[in-house]
Amino acid sequence: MGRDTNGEMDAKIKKKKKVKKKEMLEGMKKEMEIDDHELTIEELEMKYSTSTTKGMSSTLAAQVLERDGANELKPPKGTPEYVKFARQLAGGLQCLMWVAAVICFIAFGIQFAQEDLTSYDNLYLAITLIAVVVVTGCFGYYQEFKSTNIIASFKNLVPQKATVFRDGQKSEINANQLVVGDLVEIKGGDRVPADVRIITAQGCKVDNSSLTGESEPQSKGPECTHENPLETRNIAFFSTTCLEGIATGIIINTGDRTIIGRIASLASGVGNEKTPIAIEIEHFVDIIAGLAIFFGATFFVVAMVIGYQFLKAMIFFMAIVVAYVPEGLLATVTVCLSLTAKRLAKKNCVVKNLEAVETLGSTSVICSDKTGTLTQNRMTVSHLWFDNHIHSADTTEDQSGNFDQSSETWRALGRIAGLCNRAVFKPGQEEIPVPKREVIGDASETALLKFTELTIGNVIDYRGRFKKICEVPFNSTNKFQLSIHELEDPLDLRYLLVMKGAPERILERCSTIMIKGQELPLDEQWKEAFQTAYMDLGSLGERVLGFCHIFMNEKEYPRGYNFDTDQMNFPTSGLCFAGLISMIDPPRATVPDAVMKCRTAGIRVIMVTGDHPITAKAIAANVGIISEGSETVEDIATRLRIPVEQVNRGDARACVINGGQLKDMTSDELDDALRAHPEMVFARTSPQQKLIIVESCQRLGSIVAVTGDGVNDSPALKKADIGIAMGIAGSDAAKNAADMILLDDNFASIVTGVEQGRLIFDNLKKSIAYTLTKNIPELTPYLIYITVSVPLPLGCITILFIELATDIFPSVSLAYEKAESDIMHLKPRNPKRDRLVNEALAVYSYFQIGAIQSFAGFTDYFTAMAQEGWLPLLCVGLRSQWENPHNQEVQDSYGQEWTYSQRLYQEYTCYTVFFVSIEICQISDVLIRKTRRLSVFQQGFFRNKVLVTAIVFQLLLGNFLCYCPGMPNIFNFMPIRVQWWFVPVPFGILIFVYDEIRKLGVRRHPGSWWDKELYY
Amino acid sequence: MLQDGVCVCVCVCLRAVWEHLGLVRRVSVPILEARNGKLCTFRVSLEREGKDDGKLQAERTLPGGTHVEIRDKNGAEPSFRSQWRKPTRGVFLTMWVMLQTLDPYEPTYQDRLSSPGVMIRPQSDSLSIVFTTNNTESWDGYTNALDTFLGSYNDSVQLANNDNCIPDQYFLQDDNGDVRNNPKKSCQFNRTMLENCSGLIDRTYGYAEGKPCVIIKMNRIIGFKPGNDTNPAYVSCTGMNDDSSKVGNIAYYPAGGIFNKMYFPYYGKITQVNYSQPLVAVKFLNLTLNTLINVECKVVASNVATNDDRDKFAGRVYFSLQVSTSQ
Repeated sequence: MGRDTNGEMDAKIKKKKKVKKKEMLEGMKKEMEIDDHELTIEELEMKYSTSTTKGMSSTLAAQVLERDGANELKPPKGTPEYVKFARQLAGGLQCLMWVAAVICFIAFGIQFAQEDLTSYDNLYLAITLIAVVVVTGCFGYYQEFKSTNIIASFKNLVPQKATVFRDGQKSEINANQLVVGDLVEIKGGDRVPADVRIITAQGCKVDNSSLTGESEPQSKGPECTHENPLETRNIAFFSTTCLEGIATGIIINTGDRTIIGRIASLASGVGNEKTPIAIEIEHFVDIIAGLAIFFGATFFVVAMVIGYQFLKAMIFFMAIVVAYVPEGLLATVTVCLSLTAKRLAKKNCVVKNLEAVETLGSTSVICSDKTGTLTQNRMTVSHLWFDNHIHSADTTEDQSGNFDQSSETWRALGRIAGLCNRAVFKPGQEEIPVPKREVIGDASETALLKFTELTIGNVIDYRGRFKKICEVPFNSTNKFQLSIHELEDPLDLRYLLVMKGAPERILERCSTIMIKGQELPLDEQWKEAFQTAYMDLGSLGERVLGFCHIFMNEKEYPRGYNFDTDQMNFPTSGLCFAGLISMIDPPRATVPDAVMKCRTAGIRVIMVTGDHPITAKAIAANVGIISEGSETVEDIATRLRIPVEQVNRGDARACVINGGQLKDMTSDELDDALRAHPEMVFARTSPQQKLIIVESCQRLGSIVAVTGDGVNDSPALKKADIGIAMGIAGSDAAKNAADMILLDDNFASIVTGVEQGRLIFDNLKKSIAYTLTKNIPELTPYLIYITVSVPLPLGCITILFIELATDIFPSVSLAYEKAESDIMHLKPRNPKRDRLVNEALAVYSYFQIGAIQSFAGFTDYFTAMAQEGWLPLLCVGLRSQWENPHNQEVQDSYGQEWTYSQRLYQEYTCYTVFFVSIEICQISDVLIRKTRRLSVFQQGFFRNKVLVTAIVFQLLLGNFLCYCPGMPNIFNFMPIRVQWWFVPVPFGILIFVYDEIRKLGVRRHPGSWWDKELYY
Repeated sequence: MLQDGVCVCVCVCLRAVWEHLGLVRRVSVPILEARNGKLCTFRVSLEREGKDDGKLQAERTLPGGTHVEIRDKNGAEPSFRSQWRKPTRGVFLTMWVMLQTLDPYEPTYQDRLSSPGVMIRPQSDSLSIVFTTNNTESWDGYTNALDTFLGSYNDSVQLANNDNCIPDQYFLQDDNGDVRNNPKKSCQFNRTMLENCSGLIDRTYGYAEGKPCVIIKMNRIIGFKPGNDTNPAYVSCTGMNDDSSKVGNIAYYPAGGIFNKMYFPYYGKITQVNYSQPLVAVKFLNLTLNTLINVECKVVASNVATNDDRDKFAGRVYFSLQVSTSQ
């Protein structure tokens, strides 16, 4: 059954998206199709041909093992590594560069064969191109490799050894040898080796947190308590940990057919959606590649028509491709993203998948966990009710503030809270502030311990003064906990009985109530007051405990009285009620602010939690997910005193949906709900429902960020546009499925991430605009060369130097640019409308700035030619003479005669001069790209120190290339005359002024055609 | 050097202002003043669009900063037409200004021309001269080429155009300050000076008898003075490697294979219109027949580099000879 289901599921996942959701829901339902927990032991033995005493026979086990395979999670059939690598080498741009390299090789080969070899340029060029492709490919492959080892962490969950009964013999075997039907024994500390139906159990408790997210240990026993296999007590799941006790059981599922195995295959089956930035870059690369081929082909045809040789025309094609393709762009993007990733890492966000940095910036919906992310994941005393008054305690992280402690009642209440408490601090933590100390004990006792430690003082010492005689621990039938102490004062021989528990149970046992230190009879009036307070605190989503005590008469209970906790030979009723203390897992201090920031940034925060709706709603209201004044349908109904059905749903901004309701909703209904209510809280949701919520958000066109920590969250994390795992609480699987990890589990860090993501999107735009601009001055020399037949102004190797050496640093330095405006006050970008590279950007870069740069280059080129003796008009049509290696007597404009070699070096001088022109213009370009709207003067010229450094570096590198000895014969750079550096300067100034005018227009006339055409 | 760069920048700015004020036609004057009030020569030579008579020359002579002439070939004052005012032409300004800085007579720099290249006549791509003595067709291509090449060196032509100069000294015709010494004279290089290789005595240049003449020619470089005060540059040919013995005796014309100093320096094709480049003819008197012989001819002079690895034609030329007799 299992295997088929799996196969079906896989197949279905591969189907169309629209169908996918439904299919997956069905798939998940099928997960639950385990009926083994409802079978009797005899039926089980029949079904699996095993015995609950002797286990299976070894031979049968071997057969089953043969049939089912080993008990381990199989890695999904991934694409082989070499294919992945090859894919990296065969992108759009890469293919073009391969073609270019091959043409270079062919050209070199032909020249070599014809012994017509004038230089090794073509060979160099081919090797450089291949190197660029391979290095970029390795980079990409490494990135991909890092993000795909998701299954690896599931492997780590497999236990090494398991205790199994076979043929009546108890033995220890490798857990991967276990088969369905095996009788296994699980002890405290073991990991459950497979899905196991419990046969016998003694105090067995299992930590299911990695599977369901529940943090409380679940006790396991042989009895079937629930029809849902996930909730029933008699099934323990693969990969969960047995905390204490011992149990035996029969294996009902192994390997990939276990619940966790199915989640694993679900996680790897959920397609890793392409990140928005990947889509953007792909879109842009396609355009570039298309244009490069278009230009190349056009000029190939033109060259053929003009009458060039086929080989020459091919070389032209290659050169145009090299000139037009921004070779350094992919590297620039990667470096920019990793810089941001580094910056984020300092702020506790570790980014696994670089592209996720930008995704975070375009996020429009965050589905956040409650516990640990929005809250401190620490029960804290928040309110007290005594003297008929609700006092609030401080719930901030350091719990410094306080309340009125003068009342006698408080002293009694504090004493009970301190004494009737089994929690203790772990030793050796005196230096650590109280709220951060580690405690042995359950969550509420811990909260009370810390609270009393802070209000009363040293609790352990305090407990020492009231010697404990005996105690009754909390159990679910009594619902109270009590202890009996001697008094602090050695002369007072009375015993003190202190009790805490569920408030209504405590009240039942009380006959008096303490008000301002006086014991007053507990009449109806006080009971009503108690009820009101209890309801109030409960509606805040807090866990409320009642406290009472009694001083026992020394005559009835003299010293040495034998208290028997089983017989309860002491008073447990007629006690004196002291008060209520309520606790909550309070929100982190930074969260309300962060949620507010999200709101102003146009990001919707949706809470998805496994907790109670009331608690969830209270926390949501507390942190601002449900804003002040927003009401749910139920709130409106209560306020107007009308039935829920009559409320107009449109009036309710907020909505709390619990898992039960969600189960009955169709996907359309869920979409409607998400559309209708801007403030959503999902409570009591199962992990799988998280996936449904994410999908629904995505259907509505949102880019969804999801936080999660359990194994069960991994499908949702993968499905989300950006999955965010918790660094502290998160399981390995969750971390693996996620794109980002929050080291401090703090929601506020996500907001920082969003800010950085938006900034990097803007800055990438600037970087790309900068990088694209120079493609025009690189391309035009070839076009002029082919059509007008001037000596070549700019060589391919020089182009590669611009692309891959001098311009890389400045384009990366734009990533350090500060935001132009408060980017957190803007709406998230619309992935369909706000493209990374839009028409305005391309047109402005190519045809305006790029054109000016081309003019600068040609001016400098003609200057260098003219000053060396070749006037512009002579240059036109000179090419065939110029490039003829047999002609040693070409006359210049002054009648001088030049050998081929002299002309060649002159050509290299032109390359260098053109290179220098592009460099000078690019300095101006990088300055104008600092801002898209503001004036550079507003942004500050030197605020971006990295950019200034980059410009200096670019100049130094340019100088090095020009003036380093040996360059002419290696890389075709010539030492040029100094004044040729200054020829392009007016053009640089022109670019700067031109762009300032553009920005001025954009600022002055928002929405005008100017803004539309020129703002990118 | 830097001055020029700065000047270019200033020019652009000024140009823009003047253009705006309609003062465009006087553009070159204030710029001159702007440059430290001293000597600064701008000569303008630009082709105006449309008219072929529109060759415009603006010449200014200093010192004194008084005399300015701007006129075209017909002596009319040029009209700078509105083409310059089109804003799209603005980007050409820098280039235009650059062109103003050029001297029409000599190039601003000669960075690549430190040493002249050398070439032979008759010339082919492979630089090999292969022929059979008694097969006229195999060598009449060479002799025809030489005839054509030497046509302009006929004594009558030289006598008509060029001067008879004082030999063995550089023929300096420098400008007097900014007063142009224009046009410049050229010295006669008479075809007869090549004696046996002139093609006048032996119309076959020795090809018919297996003693071929090859003419060595040195590239023109403005202002270049090969040799030094005492020694002129001369041509020396040897066989390459093993071929040195096969080359046999060589006769040089003019005597000693000398490039006489009076032909230098060269002043450029605009001012020295009829310049005749000096030649050296090399006659191979007893080549080893029927074998391919590689010959290297060098120009020997202290300021002519002949050892540039990358330029095989710098101060030297390699060619091969094969003279056959049978058939």
